[in-house]
Amino acid sequence: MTGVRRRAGAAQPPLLPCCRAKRPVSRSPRAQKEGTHPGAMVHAFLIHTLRAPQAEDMGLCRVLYSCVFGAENLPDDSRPHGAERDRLLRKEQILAVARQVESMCQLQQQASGRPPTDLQPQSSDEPVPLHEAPQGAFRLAAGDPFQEPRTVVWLGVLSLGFALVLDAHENLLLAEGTLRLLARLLLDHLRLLAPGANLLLRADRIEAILVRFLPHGQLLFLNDQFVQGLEKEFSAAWPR
Amino acid sequence: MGPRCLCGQRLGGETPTAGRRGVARSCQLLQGQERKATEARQPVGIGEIQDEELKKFCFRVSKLLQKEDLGPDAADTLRRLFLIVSATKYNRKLEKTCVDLLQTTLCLPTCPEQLQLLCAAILREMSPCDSLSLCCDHIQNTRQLSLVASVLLAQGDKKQEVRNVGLRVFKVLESRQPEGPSLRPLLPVLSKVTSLAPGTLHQDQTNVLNKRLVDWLRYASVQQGLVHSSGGFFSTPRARQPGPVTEVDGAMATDFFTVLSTGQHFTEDQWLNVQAFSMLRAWLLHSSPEGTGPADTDDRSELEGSTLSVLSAATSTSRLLPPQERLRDKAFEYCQRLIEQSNRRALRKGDADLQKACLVEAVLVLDVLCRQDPSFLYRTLSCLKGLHARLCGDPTSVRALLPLAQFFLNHGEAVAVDSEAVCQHLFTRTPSELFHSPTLAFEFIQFCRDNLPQFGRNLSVLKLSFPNLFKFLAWNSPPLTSEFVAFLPSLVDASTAVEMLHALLDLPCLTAALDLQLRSSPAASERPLWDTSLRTPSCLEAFRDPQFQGLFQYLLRAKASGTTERLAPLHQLLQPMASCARVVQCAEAVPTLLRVFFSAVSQFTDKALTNQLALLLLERSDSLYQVPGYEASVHRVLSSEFLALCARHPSLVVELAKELLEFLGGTGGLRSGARMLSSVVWAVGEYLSVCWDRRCTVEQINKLFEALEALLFELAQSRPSATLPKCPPQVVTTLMTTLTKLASRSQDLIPRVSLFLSKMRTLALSPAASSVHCEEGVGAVRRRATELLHLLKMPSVAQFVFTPSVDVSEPRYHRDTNTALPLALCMVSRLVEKEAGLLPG
Repeated sequence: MTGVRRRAGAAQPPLLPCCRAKRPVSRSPRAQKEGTHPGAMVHAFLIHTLRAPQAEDMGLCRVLYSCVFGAENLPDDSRPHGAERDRLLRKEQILAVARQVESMCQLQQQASGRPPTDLQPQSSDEPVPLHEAPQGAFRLAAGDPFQEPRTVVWLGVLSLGFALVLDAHENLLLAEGTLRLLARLLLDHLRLLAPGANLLLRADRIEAILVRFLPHGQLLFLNDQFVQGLEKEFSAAWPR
Repeated sequence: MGPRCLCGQRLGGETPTAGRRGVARSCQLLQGQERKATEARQPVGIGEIQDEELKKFCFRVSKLLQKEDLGPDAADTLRRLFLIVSATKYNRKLEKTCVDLLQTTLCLPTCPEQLQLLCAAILREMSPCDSLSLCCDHIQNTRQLSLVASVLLAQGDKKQEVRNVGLRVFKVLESRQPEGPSLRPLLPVLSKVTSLAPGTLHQDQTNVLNKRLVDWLRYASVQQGLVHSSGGFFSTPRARQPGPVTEVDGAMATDFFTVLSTGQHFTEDQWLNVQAFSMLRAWLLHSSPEGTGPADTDDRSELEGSTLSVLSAATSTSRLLPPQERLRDKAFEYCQRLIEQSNRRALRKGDADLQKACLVEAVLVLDVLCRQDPSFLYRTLSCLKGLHARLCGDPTSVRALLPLAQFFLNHGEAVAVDSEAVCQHLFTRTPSELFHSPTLAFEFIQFCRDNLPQFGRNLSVLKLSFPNLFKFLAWNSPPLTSEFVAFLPSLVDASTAVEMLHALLDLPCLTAALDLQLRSSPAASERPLWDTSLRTPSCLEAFRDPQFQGLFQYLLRAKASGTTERLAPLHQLLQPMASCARVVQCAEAVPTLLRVFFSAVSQFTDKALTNQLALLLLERSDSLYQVPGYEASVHRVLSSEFLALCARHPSLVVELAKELLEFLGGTGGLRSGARMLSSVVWAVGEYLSVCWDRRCTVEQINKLFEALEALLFELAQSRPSATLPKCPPQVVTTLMTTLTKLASRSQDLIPRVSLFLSKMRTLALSPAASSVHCEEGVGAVRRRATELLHLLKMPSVAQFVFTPSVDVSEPRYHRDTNTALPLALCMVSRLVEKEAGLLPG
């Protein structure tokens, strides 16, 4: 069976029935927009693996790094192990996003007829043309998997997926720009695609980049000079 | 990247997502905590070993963190600890001393950034954590405070952490000395706090911050910052001033500093300007709790009415305004300046991108301002009208058209400006030209979906534009299908239903046509992502062929035309593209959308529309684009929807008897597949009766009977052939039942059908039959023929069973012991079985 048949979400196991149960009562679009949380921030950032469509039997989609900014207000849970359950829920939410991004990215790659070899890491040290990288956005309805409705912006660079989970009415254009910037910085400063690059053990560097370019999930309007300034300052504090 | 090499040999444990046991496990875990204890640590053996190793590792971490000198060893160990904690979705029980030390290290004034980041990241990864004792009350260093806040905000606000963080951050902000620590790390915290818990700050505190924001937004230095040595991240040494800031096109700044002002280096207040603008929209929304218009009027009446605020705002005496209004006023000026600045030709690509994002944000902020204080409307309007005119000629700034349209939708009525022109432009041009941009497509559909209540008079513009909106869907079906599932019901109405149903069925064909349109457009230099491996010269030629221009134009139309064209010739032409991935993806979305369409249409269909739709189903069932698997899945929907239409308006079978006769008599029925055929046949048997429609005549029954008889005869005789698909036994049995039903209503036909049924029974026993159907199928045909024959022996029973009166469905029939339906059915089946038992074979 070709990978084409797979629809996003279709091949995934039903996600956390308990999250669905917490879905708030239906609200009008207007109410959603002006509810108590109109929100204009990033809820989470993640980096995960992207597998070639044929290689789906090669392990699972893995979240390599994730950072959740703040926490969703969950309904009070008096049962024991509440904290453990909350943490598990957060981890599952992030994994669900990663899986959906992977699926979207694969479908887009197939639709645009890119050979799956494009997903293989390249050994060369050349910069990756990010403007040609597959990218997209999709909506996550309230309750699935997050309590609030969210938008996911994603970018696929070879075998890595980068994604921002946004509050529903964030400035999408700014988010796309920020995601491309983050991906570029991470690729450059962590040499993510070079052989032997070990993303998993360099969380401090990723954190240092996020603290500067996406503090607390705040998207920043940084012009080119601001970016350069921050990058210089980062390079000085974190020599390669 | 195996876990072993990552965690070092000491920790051979779980892999990054630790997800082998998968979601199912975690669901169980979430549902019942009793299971947790037993399952989460399975297999027990490994769990214990890991716990042991983890203990050792924690001990090592603790030892390192207690040292005076936190060297590279500490960083390395903390990195590993982060991986251990973050790589599993289940809790890692760290030693208490270790957790305590992580918190102490994080708060150490002398701790290097790297270790602080790692400690904060580990603590955040563990959160929510019950044993946390972290407190932000005494932290002076703003960078440290920000990191501690990130940990506290991740706790889920069980102990009012959000409020505490908010108040502490505010206190530091308020008490700041001019030469004190930088405030840059604090503003994002405040922004996060207000978005997590909007009521955290009191009115007074909000006002203080409003004042501060005004200063940062409007009065940041217009001189460039200094070249500072590579000192600390937030250090602000002072030296000579290196000149004024410039605009993005290199010209000298003409007015106050904004995020679109550039220079070599920036001052602290310029950084704060960037942060202030970045958080502005959310702050405006959160800081005025009652939010929109009417609630505000009370506020303003205290300030001598809205007329004054209009006047004062107009005459720059705004320093007299209360802080919140003053902030709005400055925000307005800022946005105006951004709109002006975004018209400049940026020298750098990054700045050009930022200009577009700023335009979007400026319009969004203006929208918030006007919603909160309508006195901004007139000033904003003149500014945005100009902007709209400018953007219409600039395809690269198309993204800003969406918030602009939103603004006009929200406020058009209040200022008596017709938003129609804006909507027209947006819906006519944008989708046709930019359907291939995935994020624009998403944002566009989201805009339509979210603003449905605001469209008002323009709703018809939206509804008529469905062929254009479908282009987004046809090209980007994976992310947009769910959007359309939610959105489609609002898009369809009685006047467009027929055309939309055709369009939905032709959606994969539209995908192929869009592909050709992109390939043959002269501006193909933009290189949207298309399948370059696909070579379809014949399709491209056909696309340019004047003979098919009309059809392609119809398929690619921007608006509903009110007419329907038969696209069958295009299905043929585009056949070489039917297997390309994008077309297949789109085809997979269609069945879902069809179901949504029919459930939406059922809300308003009248008889005429139902008949039209039923005819359309008959017609289209054998005229579909041949995408692999498409026809079968569409037939599944169409056949069940046909029955649903009949159930809703049973008289349609009588009204459309002539058309049904044509469908069943011609080859259409056979070609349109077994599912559709058996649905139609079943509907004829069920609803062609005087009890559903008094107009039903014996002649109609006889004619349909003859057509079905001929059809069944043909099917029974036919050998498997390449031209016609194999006919499943279900169709045969349905045909037999329907013939019997019709005979029970026009009893002259009973001898004929009895003869036929006995023939079928013998035929089913013949060896030739088993070559057509499988064993099971043959059995079913024989059994059904026998049953029907018996029933026909008692015509009145047959009529009761086959044509129950309408009130059979009433509860009485299921309760009344004398007329109880189950009783009657039970008797009939006993009769049938008994007779069957008496007869040989």
